Amino acid sequence: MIDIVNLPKLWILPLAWTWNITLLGLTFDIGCALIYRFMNKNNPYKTQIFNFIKQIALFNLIWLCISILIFFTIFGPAFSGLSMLFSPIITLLMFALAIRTLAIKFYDVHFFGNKSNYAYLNSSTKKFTNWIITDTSIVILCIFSAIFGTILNGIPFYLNNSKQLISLFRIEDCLNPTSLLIFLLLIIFSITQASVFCYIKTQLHKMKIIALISTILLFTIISCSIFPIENLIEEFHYTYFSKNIIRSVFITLPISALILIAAIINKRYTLALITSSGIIKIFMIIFDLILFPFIVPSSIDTSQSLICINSFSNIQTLVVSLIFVIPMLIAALCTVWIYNKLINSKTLATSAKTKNSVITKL
Amino acid sequence: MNEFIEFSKNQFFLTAGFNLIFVEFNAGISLITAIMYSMRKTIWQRCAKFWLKTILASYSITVITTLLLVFQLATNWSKLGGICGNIFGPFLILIALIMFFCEFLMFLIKLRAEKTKTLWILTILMHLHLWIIIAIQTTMHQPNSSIEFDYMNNCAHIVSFFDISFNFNTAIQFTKSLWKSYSIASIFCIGICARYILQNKHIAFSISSIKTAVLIGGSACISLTPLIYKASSFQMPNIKNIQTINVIHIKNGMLGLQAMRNLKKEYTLAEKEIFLMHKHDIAYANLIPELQPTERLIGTSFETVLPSISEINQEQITQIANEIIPNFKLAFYSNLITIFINILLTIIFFMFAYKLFRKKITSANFTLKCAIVVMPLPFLSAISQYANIEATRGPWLINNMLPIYLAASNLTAISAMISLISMCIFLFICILLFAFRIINIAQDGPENHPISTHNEPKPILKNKLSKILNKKHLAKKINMKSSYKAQVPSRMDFKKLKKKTNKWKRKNK
Repeated sequence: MIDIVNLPKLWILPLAWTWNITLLGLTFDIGCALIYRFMNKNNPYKTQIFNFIKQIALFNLIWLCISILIFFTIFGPAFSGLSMLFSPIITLLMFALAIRTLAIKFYDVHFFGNKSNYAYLNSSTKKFTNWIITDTSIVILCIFSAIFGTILNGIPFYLNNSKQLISLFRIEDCLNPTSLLIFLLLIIFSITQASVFCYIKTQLHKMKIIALISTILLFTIISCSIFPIENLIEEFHYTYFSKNIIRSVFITLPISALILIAAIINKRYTLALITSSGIIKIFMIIFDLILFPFIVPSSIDTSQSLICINSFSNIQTLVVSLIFVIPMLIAALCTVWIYNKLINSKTLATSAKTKNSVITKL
Repeated sequence: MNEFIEFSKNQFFLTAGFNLIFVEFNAGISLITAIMYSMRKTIWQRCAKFWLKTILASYSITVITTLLLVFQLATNWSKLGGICGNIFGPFLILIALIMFFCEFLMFLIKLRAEKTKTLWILTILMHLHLWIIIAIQTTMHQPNSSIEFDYMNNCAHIVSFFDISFNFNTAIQFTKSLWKSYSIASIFCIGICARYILQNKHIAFSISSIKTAVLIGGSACISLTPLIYKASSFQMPNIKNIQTINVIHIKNGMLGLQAMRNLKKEYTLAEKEIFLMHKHDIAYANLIPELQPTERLIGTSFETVLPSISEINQEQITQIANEIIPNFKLAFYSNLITIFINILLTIIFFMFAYKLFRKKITSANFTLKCAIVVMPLPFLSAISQYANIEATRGPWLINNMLPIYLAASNLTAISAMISLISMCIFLFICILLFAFRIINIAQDGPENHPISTHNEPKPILKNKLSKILNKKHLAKKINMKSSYKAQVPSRMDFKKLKKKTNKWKRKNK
């Protein structure tokens, strides 16, 4: 039996889980969009990588919708407060995501003229589209890191007598060291993951070098960020989990980076891919562990923060929404299957030799 | 604040209307495709494969517009989450999950040869998507007893999920939307096929597609006739009466609001009785922005100030009562447009049915040209139907419960205006890209489309080889190693192949 009192706490799990899937997919997608620009124009694999992005872009978008809607349904008051604070940058994020997906999905639309006249990757329209995809990808990462960094830092607000959120937050506050650190980490995570994938697919030496450099950079940044993260952990007095647990999870990050370097050098493709995705997953778990049970922490008075217990919608909705956990699980399994189909071990092993893959088939 | 709400309202209705049109189009075209694919003959399957490409194109737009709608809940309507996130949230999650599975099924369709079952499941899911959208819309319009508003805590609760999903009003609205979606998809199919026939191309394909489209679209238009007959009896209500009723509601609501405030301070039976008596009219009192609590800086901290109800005079009440009268004129004219378009479409479907019956469709130039001209009309009809619903909404987000302005964010009008302009430009680009994609698909024609080649891979190399060598298993071996780069065989490839066949012959000897 599910304890109804603890239901809001339990709902944090599916919420964190859907956000993790979304960000994992988005970073992979964005990383590929950044990396494939480094490829030569005439490289046939460029189209393959682009087709891969095209396949997963809509799935990532739908996962983002699911995670936002779970937040909206289960933690309505917290969603309301958070969206009120970040309204302008969320608008920017909305347009960036929509434009990027539109550019990816309608990349091969040829405007006026015959099909034979249109050069696939060389025309100015295509260059412009490529430019849009890359730029919006960076903007999306920027906005996500600004939001996450500000939440980790704490937002200056308090609740009045009628439980309305009174904010002293300015949009410039998003530019803080924690946001910058998260942006750096996210961009390197996505580039590492994508470059490992591209290296496995294409066997290009350039990709291997990018993968190695980004992993070494990642290792350095993680090692340097131990102290700021320690400070953050110290600031959260009400964190549910003990600080030693968070520290021990954090130590796995540099270890995973070292394993990734070894895997790339020794050509252990599957291990490299799993480790590169695993690093992002660990990073998100650390974020969840530090924040739990906070949803929107207040930097003025921690006791005024929006916690999962005081900012859920109502018990009836929480119970009814449990029905969606099963289809969400099935959807997650389907996503894993899709990724497996697009980058399965067989394709990984044979791609370099036969130059044939499922992506080409699709 | 008023300007911000107007801009936000327009932005939301623009995106929601755009989304609804594409959802309707998807439902209609998926049904046509599924029916075609269920036929055993190859010509029907060829037709289905062609129309499947249009579903793939339109579904991307549907997902993008849904994302825009979801994000608007956070940007322009940030208070909505706290007030009624628990009501619409589960339905919206369901829509997102349906979208995921639809996209997954499309992935499967691209990957696998067997499509009939997958296509039918896709069709059912797309219809379910439409049903949920209509259910949400109808609930906002006529909540009846399915929703209860807690004025004390300023949030809504669901009484019954079943009542929201399955009720008479939803069923009627869904039927309307469904027939509309079938007519949109049918006219779209007929328009493209008419163009082919006029160009004297793909005649067999076009006639088969037109047959299915006329059957579905024609029956949809005829089924809409009783509903349209009912709509045509729409009469302009007496506005003075509505205004008087509104004034009474507002006054009662003010009494209820005062009783609620008193109850929060001190519980008395008399106040409780007044509150219960006028509970349902408090929403009308909430329409007066001057009565809403404000935050004022007193000393070093902010404090909530409740404006006095006695400060509101008769003039203000009359003004609000006037403002909240729905735009009946817009509703009337949009209804008129829908009726006119539906009659026109019915005539066109009859013309096509007659020409098909007489087997003179290829020579019926006027009918074919008419079909091309009326292609945008069903979309216009869908927009006018949506405008009709929005016009009768008035100032309410949930009818007689929640005024729109209470759910809006506290942003400036300029930011909303910039957002609205950007949204207009973005949606225009969406339409342009979709139109160009459809033109591309139409130019490609029913042959040589990627879906058929995925499922039945016939690379040029394999065919030529089997012709030259007439050895199937060797051709298979070579096909295994062929990349898409090597699909056009070069001289070197043939030299290599010859060498290999020689080796194979020697071994066999």
